[in-house]
Amino acid sequence: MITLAGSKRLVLILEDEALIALDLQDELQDAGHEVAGPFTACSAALDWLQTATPDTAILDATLNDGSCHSVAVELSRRGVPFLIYSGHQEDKQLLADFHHITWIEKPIPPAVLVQECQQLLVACG
Amino acid sequence: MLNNNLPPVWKESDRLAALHSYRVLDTPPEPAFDNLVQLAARTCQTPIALISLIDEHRQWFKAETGLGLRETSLDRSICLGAMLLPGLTIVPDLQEDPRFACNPLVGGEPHLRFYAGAVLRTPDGVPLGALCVLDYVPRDLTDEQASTLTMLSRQAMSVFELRRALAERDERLEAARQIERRQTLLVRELHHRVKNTLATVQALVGATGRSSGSFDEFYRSFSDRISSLAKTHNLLTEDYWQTAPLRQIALNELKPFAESRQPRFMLIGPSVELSADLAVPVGMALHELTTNAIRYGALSTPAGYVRLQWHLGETDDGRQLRLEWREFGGPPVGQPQHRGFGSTLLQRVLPMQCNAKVEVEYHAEGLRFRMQVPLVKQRLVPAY
Repeated sequence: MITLAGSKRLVLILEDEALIALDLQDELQDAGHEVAGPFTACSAALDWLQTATPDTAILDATLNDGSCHSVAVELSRRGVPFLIYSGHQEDKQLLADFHHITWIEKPIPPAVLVQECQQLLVACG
Repeated sequence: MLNNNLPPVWKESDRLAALHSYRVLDTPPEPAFDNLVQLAARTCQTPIALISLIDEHRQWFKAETGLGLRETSLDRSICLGAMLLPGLTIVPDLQEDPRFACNPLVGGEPHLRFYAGAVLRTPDGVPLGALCVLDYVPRDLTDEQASTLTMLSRQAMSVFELRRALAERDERLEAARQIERRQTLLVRELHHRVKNTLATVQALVGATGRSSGSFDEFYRSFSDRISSLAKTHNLLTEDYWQTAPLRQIALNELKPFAESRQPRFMLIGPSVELSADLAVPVGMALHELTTNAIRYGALSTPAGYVRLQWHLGETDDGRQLRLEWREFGGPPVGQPQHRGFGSTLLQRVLPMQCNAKVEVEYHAEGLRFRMQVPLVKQRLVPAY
């Protein structure tokens, strides 16, 4: 398991819109965090998760290879807090079995997204 | 009663079209028609009654009693002859009538002798077949039996009319449902694209901001990128937001150079439609390449020009697009001092977004950009 000293945390990004993913990555790095990914498909994120665990994650609800459900399940199993960043209200149905999900509607300023991420980390210690 | 000299007022192709419009051929038996033939047989006291429809190469029975067949070839059809005559056709003895004596069902088994058929006629007067009764012995019908048979044939026709109206209504309902489904898909797709476009624009703000030295530079670059994006969306909108032609995307960027006396660019490649997922990033890439060429490359000097060439190829992974942007005649090119948004887009966004393999080479004689990208064939909303 990778843990980082101080407030520098490892954030996994799962997002298939490259521009959005890269912008988010820059914003997180500017805020002093490390980024795992960005991954554009669940399969790539799950591969990475075989050998590492992030401190938190930002997941787009629907990826090229389907819903982010499988990744959300794996993160929950490990107790990793994550948030869903999606443009679709209807995606909520895909993740109906997660009760305490942080759901953020696209688009919002990346800085706000980074703040939300940090709040998740604080809340979970 | 037979009159062979009456010319038909319809064409056989129109008659067949009318018959098929009732959508009745090869449908299963239905009580409404079964009851009519039973009534006809009972009234006329014959062992056989049929509702016979004359198709192109056969006569088909919507209902029958006593014959045990659903269809026969036309050379066995007595109704074919009766259908061409107005009203009711009665043949007291088929063996004695030269037109029917050689009919296999008359000369051989089951040795039919008597025929009476009332023509089934559409409201436009086009005959479709007949409601007929048959017997194994020569005989005749009483006036009452004859008029009842005629009434029953009109009754059969009104059931045909009714079922055609129902079938047409069902088809209209189905068409309306299809339009509704398409509409729902379009609205959902529109919503998706708008949200995505807004998120993309937001990412563009961030990326342009990070690579701009001044507000003026930011404003100019950002506005240019937005209008390039808008032009690609225009092309997509022409096809319900599905695909855009590559040549047109390139022309959107290079059009300002189309009017010059010396050719400033060449577009060489087959016609290819890019799906929205590919058209947007490729459009942005061509925008960055053009902007770069205008500022530092071949389009910054009057003698320079750009050659954009593409090919389609098949590989094990499906259809691939290979595209090359090459600049000639510009000022000498060196490695760029810093990585701007343009190079991020070419070298990171394209591979991530489109699974593209890209190569950017800063040759002294001009920039060369090459890209190989899989063409995914996917329409979210079906084409008309």
